[in-house]
Amino acid sequence: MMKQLVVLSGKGGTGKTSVAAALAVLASRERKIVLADADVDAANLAILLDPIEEERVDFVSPETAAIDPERCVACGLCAEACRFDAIPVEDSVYRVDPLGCEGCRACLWVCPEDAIRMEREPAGFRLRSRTPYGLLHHAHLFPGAENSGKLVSEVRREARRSALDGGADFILIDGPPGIGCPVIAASTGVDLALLVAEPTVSAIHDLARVRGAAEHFDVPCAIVVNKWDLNPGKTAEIERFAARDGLEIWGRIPYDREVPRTLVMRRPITECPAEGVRKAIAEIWEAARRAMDDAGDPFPTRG
Amino acid sequence: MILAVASGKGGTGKTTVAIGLARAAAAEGRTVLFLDCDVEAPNAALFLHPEWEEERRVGVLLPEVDPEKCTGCGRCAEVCAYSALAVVNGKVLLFDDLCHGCGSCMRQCPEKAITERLHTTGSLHAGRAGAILFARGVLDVGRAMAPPVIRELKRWKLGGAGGPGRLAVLDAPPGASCPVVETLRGADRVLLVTEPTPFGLHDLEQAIGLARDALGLPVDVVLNRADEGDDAVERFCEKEGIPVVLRIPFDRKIAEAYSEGIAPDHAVPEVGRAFRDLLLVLAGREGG
Repeated sequence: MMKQLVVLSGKGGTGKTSVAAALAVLASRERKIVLADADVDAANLAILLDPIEEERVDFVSPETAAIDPERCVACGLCAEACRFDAIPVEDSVYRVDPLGCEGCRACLWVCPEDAIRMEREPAGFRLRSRTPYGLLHHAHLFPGAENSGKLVSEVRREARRSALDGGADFILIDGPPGIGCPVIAASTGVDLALLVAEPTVSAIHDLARVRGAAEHFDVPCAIVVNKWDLNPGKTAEIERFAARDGLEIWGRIPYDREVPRTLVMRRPITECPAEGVRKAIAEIWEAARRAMDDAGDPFPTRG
Repeated sequence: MILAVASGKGGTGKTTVAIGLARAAAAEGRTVLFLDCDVEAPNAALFLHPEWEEERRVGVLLPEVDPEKCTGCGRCAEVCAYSALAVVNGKVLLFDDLCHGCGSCMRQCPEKAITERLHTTGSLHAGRAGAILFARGVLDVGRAMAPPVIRELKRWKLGGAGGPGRLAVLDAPPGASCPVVETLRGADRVLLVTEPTPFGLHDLEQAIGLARDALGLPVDVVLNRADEGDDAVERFCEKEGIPVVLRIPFDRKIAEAYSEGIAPDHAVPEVGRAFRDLLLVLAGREGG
């Protein structure tokens, strides 16, 4: 039975990608896995995994409106109808700001002169790469492009296809920060979300929010504490939160300056010289494997 | 000046830089507005502890169909660009989460059978943190769309806040897509906070692509944990002609204070002074 695990955090920069890459290394020693980087705005998983690009497919943006200046009579009805402040006017010249436009067509429907048409622009591309640990599906969203949720869904669809074709039984997804549309796209239908938290007031605040979002979409969670000894008191707070919510803590990664040094060399932290870090990662993978193998709990079977 | 603090990568120190600048400006007696636009993970209040004075609920205007007037003609579904409406057996079905609240269905309904109601997806809070006017948006847990909450936050509090002698600091969400666009539109300049790692560099390039190239805004870079990495970000900024206006060294004291909700400008006095200097640099840019 194929399992999918997404790494989330709420707050950015708590170590999602570091944990995902390290799990990929350890998991791939025992299993056939497929990887997906669902943080398409800021896709970093590839940096740690020595990828060789195999396939690149263009991704086009949703439509945005454009005004034909030849036909426009500057009546202003379009700007009045636009609820996204995307049609500014300067010296009675109306134009669409493509970065503000949500493609709703409200302007198109109200224009009496038929001066508005919808356009599509290249918005990025989706990639499939070979890594020593398995196939990696990732993407690059052009800066400012809309609809990262749709691109995330495409990356996940391709990852599933690879896993089914290649007989992989585990898809590991590096998720985006936040709790909104890209996070929802990255985590709908997964078997478990691994939440990476730091012992800081911000990360704990956002941990509770992302846990709430996961609960809302019926996704079970487990927790990893990163840099736990930076503030043992706050780590205890995370542990209390976990106990209250019935969440397992899969591991505690110590705060060690060898970690950023390892990452700067573009190596996964399974290669970190600090033994405590390597040990913590090994424990996290043990817990993940146990969870996957335990029938049902906390990886319920999904249709 | 409306100054947005953004980064591409999360966790590089956007919020702490935004707070440091806001407090430095307030200490000089300037009128300062702080807007926390990271509505998915709004953290600035954990450091600034504002006293809340106002709150309002915001969201998306959803259509409501009057079954008495509706003839089931299907025009509303036809004009909806998001497939949020469908007509089945002469009845209009609405999929709340797909609706962007553009109002086209209401405007185009030939029977005027559609009205709108506010479907709340988040809240806005405003108050005072010492001399700083503080406001934030909070997306409700379980909701998908951050941009409408950010848009409403800016409409609510930003008007006039960037005028002469005033400073508005916008604390942006991470990334380089819709929520960041919504935050940066209308800003005067952007401060990009990054770290000297391959991740920091990759995501800085994304943020520059948005702020400088797509939005045409002037950008400067702040390098956080500046001594804990390689020199690729410095070399990149030099090549691109982007000034690195502040380098904050790694300091375990800063990290520990941060974990307790104390921002670096209060944890380490030199950092507080560095923000005052940075403010002068940025003000000079605006003047010139």
